[in-house]
Amino acid sequence: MNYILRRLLRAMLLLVGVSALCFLFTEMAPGSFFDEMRLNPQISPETIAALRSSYGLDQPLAVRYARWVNAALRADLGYSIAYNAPVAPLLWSRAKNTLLLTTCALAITWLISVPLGVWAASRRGGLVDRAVTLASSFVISVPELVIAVGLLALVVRWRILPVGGMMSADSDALSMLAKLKDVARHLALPAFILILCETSIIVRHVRASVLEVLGATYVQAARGLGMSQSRLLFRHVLPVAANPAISLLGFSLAGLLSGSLIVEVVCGWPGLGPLILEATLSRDLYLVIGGIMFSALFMIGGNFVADMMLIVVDPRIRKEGVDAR
Amino acid sequence: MGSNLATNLPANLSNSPGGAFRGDLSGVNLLRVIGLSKQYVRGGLWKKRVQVAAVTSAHFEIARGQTLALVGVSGSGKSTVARCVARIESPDAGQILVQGTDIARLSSRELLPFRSGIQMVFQDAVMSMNPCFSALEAIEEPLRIQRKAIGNRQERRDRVGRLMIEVGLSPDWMDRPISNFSGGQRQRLALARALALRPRLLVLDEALTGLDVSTQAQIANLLLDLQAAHQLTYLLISHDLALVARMANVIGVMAGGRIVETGPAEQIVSNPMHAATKQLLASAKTTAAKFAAITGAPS
Amino acid sequence: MARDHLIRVSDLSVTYCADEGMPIRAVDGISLEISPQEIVGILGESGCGKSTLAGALLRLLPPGAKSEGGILFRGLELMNLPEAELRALRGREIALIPQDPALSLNPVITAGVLIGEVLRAHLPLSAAERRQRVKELLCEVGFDRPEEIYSAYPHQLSGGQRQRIAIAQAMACRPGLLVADEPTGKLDATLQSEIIELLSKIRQQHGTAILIISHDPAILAGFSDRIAVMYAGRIVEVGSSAEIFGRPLHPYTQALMRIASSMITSAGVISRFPAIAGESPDPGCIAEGCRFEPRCSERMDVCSQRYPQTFLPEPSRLVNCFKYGE
Ligand SMILES: Nc1ncnc2c1ncn2[C@@H]1O[C@H](COP(=O)(O)OP(=O)(O)O)[C@@H](O)[C@H]1O
Ligand code: SF4
Ligand SMILES: [Mg+2]
Repeated sequence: MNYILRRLLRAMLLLVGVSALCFLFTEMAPGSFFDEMRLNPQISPETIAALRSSYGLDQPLAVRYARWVNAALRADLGYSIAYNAPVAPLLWSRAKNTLLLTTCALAITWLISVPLGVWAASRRGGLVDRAVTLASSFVISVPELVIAVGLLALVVRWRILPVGGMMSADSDALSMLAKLKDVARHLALPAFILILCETSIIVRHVRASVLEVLGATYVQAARGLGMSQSRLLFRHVLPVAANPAISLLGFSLAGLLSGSLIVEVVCGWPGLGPLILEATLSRDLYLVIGGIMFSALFMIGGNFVADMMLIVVDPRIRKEGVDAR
Repeated sequence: MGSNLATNLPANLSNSPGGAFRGDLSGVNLLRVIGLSKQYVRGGLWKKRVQVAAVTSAHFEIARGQTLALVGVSGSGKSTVARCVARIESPDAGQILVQGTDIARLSSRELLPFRSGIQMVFQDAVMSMNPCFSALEAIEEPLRIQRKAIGNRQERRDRVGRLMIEVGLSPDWMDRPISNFSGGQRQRLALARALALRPRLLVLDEALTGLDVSTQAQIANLLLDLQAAHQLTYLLISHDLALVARMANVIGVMAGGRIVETGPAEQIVSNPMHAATKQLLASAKTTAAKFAAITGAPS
Repeated sequence: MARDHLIRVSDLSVTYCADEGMPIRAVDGISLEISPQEIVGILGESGCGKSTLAGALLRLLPPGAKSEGGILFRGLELMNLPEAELRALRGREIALIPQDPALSLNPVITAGVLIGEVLRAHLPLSAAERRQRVKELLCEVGFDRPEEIYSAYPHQLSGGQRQRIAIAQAMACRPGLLVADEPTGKLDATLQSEIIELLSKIRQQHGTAILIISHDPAILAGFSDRIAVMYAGRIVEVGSSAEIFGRPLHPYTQALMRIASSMITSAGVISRFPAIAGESPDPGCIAEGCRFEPRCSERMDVCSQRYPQTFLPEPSRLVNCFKYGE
């Protein structure tokens, strides 16, 4: 129980830290949303000053941060200057799409990586192992952006999948099932890119941790007692190998999120990625901070879920605080 | 608490349970430990805290050139005493007098001049070092830390070579990685490393444990030879009473974080008082009896 | 005579072929028999090939290792048995007790399940029957409250307790032969004798033959029936326990016994230990001649020329030393 509380507290602290850093960095970044207005001779400096103060931007950093935190606690993340709308609902409508993309990608990544990694490790040096190692090192060495653009070009040329957005223009007329199918077809390309990039990393980690456990003395000992290879792999090795792999789950979520920002922009998926990019380019302060906070929230949430899973899987963590007999 | 124990026992005992044994009545004690206590707090910032008394009020003293052995089952607090004396750990209470100076509460900077006088060797000491280190680097490391690795390349190699010869290693192996050394050779390396700073006190924490009997005998002899050659003082930590009884002048028996019995090795072996001592001796005695029964030799 | 043996190892050699460097012949032409219910000790210092021998008996060697020779177990030649049949044999007929209890139990599986897994691998028992058997086994290896231990994870147990679990695992299917590779090597002196007593009791109750490996003669004293002394990959002397302890023939055994007895009988007076100078040879480059020759105080001219063949100075005693023949 203590462990869960500690993890929660840590998650909170992280959020506070991220938000504070966000404020600091956006403050230090050159330029502001009003720079263009200043160049416009028809807008008087007084108007700009009034606008600034109406958004609270004339206050010192600390005051702004305190106000923001205070509001954020009530789910109010400030006001977007560019969209002229509250940030939170704006972000939420986009975040749902990012969540859809990343959770799909995450689930499929793990469904592929774990069996593949275990298979490669259990036949070390075999055909599968060498193929997995080679393919994953190839994918890892190519930047995500290049893969995304390359696959996009292929898809556009071959017209196999729709590109851009998350539904077709006429989707309102479709039945529920057809609508779902339509979304899935739009989702396929960005998800595939993410899965490809992420799987190539995760599969290597799974393989490595299974290999390490396979070499452990207790696995040798279990062999000496006549355990079959499959029982050994799934009952004795995988639960131990799961520990580093699950810790990786939180980590992989981070990778997926940062990857999804790029992939969303390239594939035109209406998630947080394009929104944050736009907001950054136009220096739409609260939208940038809100977007980053959302990403951080996902990431921390993912890590928290991973931690909880560790409790289930690893008795050494579960018992913490209880003395050895 | 030590005095509590003492009152429970006949006063005319020559072994002084729990109390300080006067290792050397002439008073030239190199090390004198008074009321040493150390607690560990298990758990972290937000974890339930459990206080574990690792050592409670330990007293002992060692005369220069002599050996005091602390024996006890694992978990009885021996290693904690060792680490406090070597000041790898800070004691919670008590004094650690090294030639009259209390080092128990010195800061790490104030400790620096004392560090070279007290060196520690533990089980698998070399294993915990970077395996790519050569023997030369491993032996010279403490000199570097103390900024005493002076002289040109040849002088330094000569110095390390002499140390290697002293512990029975061939100087030809100076450039071999330490991972190529066998268990016994690694323990010799650890000794050379400890000797590099010409210490007066060596704290040997299970330094013979985990070695083959034939290697144990070699290293034990080496320790005895080095002691004679350099007037070294040893604090010897072991779970094997029978083994250290042949190496120590004085034996202290630890149980549950306390020194429950102290006395000259001869007396501890021939006339054990405390139950913990008797138990430690019993296992050695049964083995000896089996040995004697089977070989026909007198026990 | 030959039919009586439970296991008969003949001219067994194991070579580790490393990627670089010389191949290491860790076990070099070892022959040894163990009768049913017999306790045989293998005595030798670390690196002499004891664990390799144990692994070879179970046909469980790391990938780079090549083994030759014969291992006849209950009339079955293990050397050309397919892996599936070997697996059925391991844990069922021949079981291994590993050296370090801290490393030999899976950290995320409870003690009870760990023992149950062995039963599951070999015997058609229901889950309830298995649980019952495990509890009996836990009692058998000396736990008073098997329920508590059943659901304990290895990290909650002490070293001695863990080794008892490992013994319960090995004994789960009542094997004919236990191979115990330094089962007390990582334990305190007090716990060592407890574990040895437990193994003695197991032999008495179930008639299990035991091959026990140790570097310390004191462990084998009063426990093993026969002892084979190994040096640098070869057996140099075989005899009954009483003979090896009472009247060792090989100079290495003689020196080892002197050391061992000096370590257990102490009058509390400081004195040097008897010792053997030098180190055992590097297994990568072994010279012709007797392998103990560089450290032997009784070496002769022949000793460095060829390896001493096996002499039988007395019935049922084997020794490889030129002192006993030419
Ligand atoms: N997996 C391995 N690969 C290469 N060499 C090995 C391996 N295991 C053991 N050896 C070598 O074989 C020799 C015998 O080792 P081992 O059987 O473990 O001896 P012991 O159990 O008597 O200590 C040693 O020289 C060791 O270095
Ligand atoms: S053969 Fe020679 S060298 Fe070898 S043990 Fe016998 S006497 Fe010593
Ligand atoms: Mg071994």
